[in-house]
Amino acid sequence: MDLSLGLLVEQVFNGLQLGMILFLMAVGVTLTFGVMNLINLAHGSILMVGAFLIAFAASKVQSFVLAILLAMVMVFVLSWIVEKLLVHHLYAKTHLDQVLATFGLSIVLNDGVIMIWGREPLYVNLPSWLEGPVQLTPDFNYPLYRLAITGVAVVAGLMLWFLLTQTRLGMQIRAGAEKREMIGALGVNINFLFTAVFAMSAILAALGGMMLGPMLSVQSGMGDPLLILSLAVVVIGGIGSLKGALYAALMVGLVDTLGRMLWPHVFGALVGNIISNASIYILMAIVIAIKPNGLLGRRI
Amino acid sequence: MKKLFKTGVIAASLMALLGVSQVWADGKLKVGFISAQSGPLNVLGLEQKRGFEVAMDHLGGKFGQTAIEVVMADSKGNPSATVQEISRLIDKEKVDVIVGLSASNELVAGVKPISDAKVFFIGMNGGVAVNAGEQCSPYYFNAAFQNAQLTTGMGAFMSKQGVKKLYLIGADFEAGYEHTDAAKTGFKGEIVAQQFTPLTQLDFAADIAKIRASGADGVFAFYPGGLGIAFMRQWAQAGLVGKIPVFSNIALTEPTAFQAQGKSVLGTYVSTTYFAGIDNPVNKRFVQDFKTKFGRDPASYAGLAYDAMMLLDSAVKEVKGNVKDQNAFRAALKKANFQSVRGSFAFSTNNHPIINTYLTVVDERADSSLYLKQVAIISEKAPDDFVKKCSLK
Repeated sequence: MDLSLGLLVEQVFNGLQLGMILFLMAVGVTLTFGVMNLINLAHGSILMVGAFLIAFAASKVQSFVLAILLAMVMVFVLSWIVEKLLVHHLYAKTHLDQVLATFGLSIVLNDGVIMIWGREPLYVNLPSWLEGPVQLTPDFNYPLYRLAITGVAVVAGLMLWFLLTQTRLGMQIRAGAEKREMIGALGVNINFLFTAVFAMSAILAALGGMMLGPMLSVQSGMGDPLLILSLAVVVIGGIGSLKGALYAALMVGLVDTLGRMLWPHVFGALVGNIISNASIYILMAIVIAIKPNGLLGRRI
Repeated sequence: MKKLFKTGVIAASLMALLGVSQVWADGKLKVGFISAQSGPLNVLGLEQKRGFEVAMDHLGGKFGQTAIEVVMADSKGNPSATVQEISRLIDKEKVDVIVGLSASNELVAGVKPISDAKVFFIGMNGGVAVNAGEQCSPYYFNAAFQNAQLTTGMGAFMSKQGVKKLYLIGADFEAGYEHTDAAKTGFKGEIVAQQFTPLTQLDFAADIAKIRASGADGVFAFYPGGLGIAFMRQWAQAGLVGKIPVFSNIALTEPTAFQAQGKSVLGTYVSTTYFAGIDNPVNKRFVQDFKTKFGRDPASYAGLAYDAMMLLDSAVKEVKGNVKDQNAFRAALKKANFQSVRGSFAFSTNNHPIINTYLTVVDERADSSLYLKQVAIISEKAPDDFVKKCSLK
């Protein structure tokens, strides 16, 4: 097979798209850790809940955009409740307790969707204006929906950047991520701040799930492989660092996608396949070996 | 008197120990049904369960005079869960017979522990080459097909359709290897690539880009259940439907997937041993009752599960419920004295079936619902390729 320029460009697009979805996930993981010192293993299940809610909403209303908005509102309400009822009590606990409790939460969510929607995978049908390929250059077609995903993820990323750097809430969140004790001492309503950060993380993950819904099959546990990838992203980028999460997510997306094309070419089909399936973790191992706290991480 | 009592107690406990009294006394047979009801291949396992349910309706919950007690198990499409659930069925539930299993990687892990425990197992989906050949077992009957058996014939057909450069792609497990290998037999052109993707991977963007860039003019894709749905949806989103033809076997597209795949699979050729349109009275009754119960055509997993239950029924009836006489029960199973939804049915010496395979194409009814239309018979009453490697007689 020839490594043509067209294929390379297309795979870079695919890599960026995977990277942006991972970024939406990783932001939540890294923010909740940075601000609340909370390890959240239920994050993948929240992505799954997002996908189920879009499937549910899309079956009730005609407009796809309206369905997304509806699903967002439902995720917001749900995450607010979960934070108040369960997660809130975990902030003062040890990491082991947090891991156990949020892992339990993920089991509850994974089985909850089975109880409500059954074990059969659900499917979200795309509106016709998002279907099919779009012609970028005379000999290069790219699926319109994948472009749309990348676009939505970039917009979400920009909104997050605006929120964090240009607003008062964002300033408090950043301050919280740096020195949690200090911001409490300065009289900021830390309870509200924590709930807001948790809900925001949940919405970003669920948005990832909503974007993935029409491409994949929506079923229980679909977010768990992505959680593992996004944990790798957070470790590579440096735990608690937003910029690190962005760089690492794009890196992981590109390494994974381009690796699938390149390694079989270099090492032959069998070895190449094995290496490309492991490439992200090889990258992670290398980064940790050189910079134990991740690319932009601070000392833990 | 005391001595007689003592002998009686010993005899009774010995009987209980052997489990003989249990089967005869209450005329009940414990059947363990195991299939992938969660995980990446749960579309298969859930459809098998539906076929199993229709079979239980038709049997009235009994094999002749023997009442059936069902124990359900979920093999999750993964080998370690399979082995765990099998040891639960055998050691804790003490089932008499096990039926089911969905994925080939489950079979590879599961057949040996079942055979070692000397429990009979009837497979409801594609059998793996080693289990049909060198490692065939007197306790393992496959009532469905051997993987290669289902796909051999597609190679020649793809050549006939004018495919010169073929791209083989499939899920990274035994069935993926065996089906893509079988698709090569009889194909005359160039094999551009034979690639496997992890069972958990649902995003095929990078792979579809590779296929397009490879210059292939035909694709053989082995993606069962949810994988096939995701693959074909993304294939359509990439605008490749009608540009590069996709070939496969029944795993890629069937009634379980039609609604989600929609028009993206219209005109796709797949080989199969069972589809709802097979014309015989037994199948008509099965399809009718399946439709009434579940509102659509049965997929192959359901039809094959139904066949496995009817096979079991015929054998249990013949030995009058006494499956503890293993030689008699095995001989009864080997006879395959039942009416198959596939018409003719017989076992080779390796306990894998001699079957017809069909070439079908996805077509549209007047109400725009999809169905599989028979195009040709690929092979009639053909055994699998591994019979000679099996030492069973």
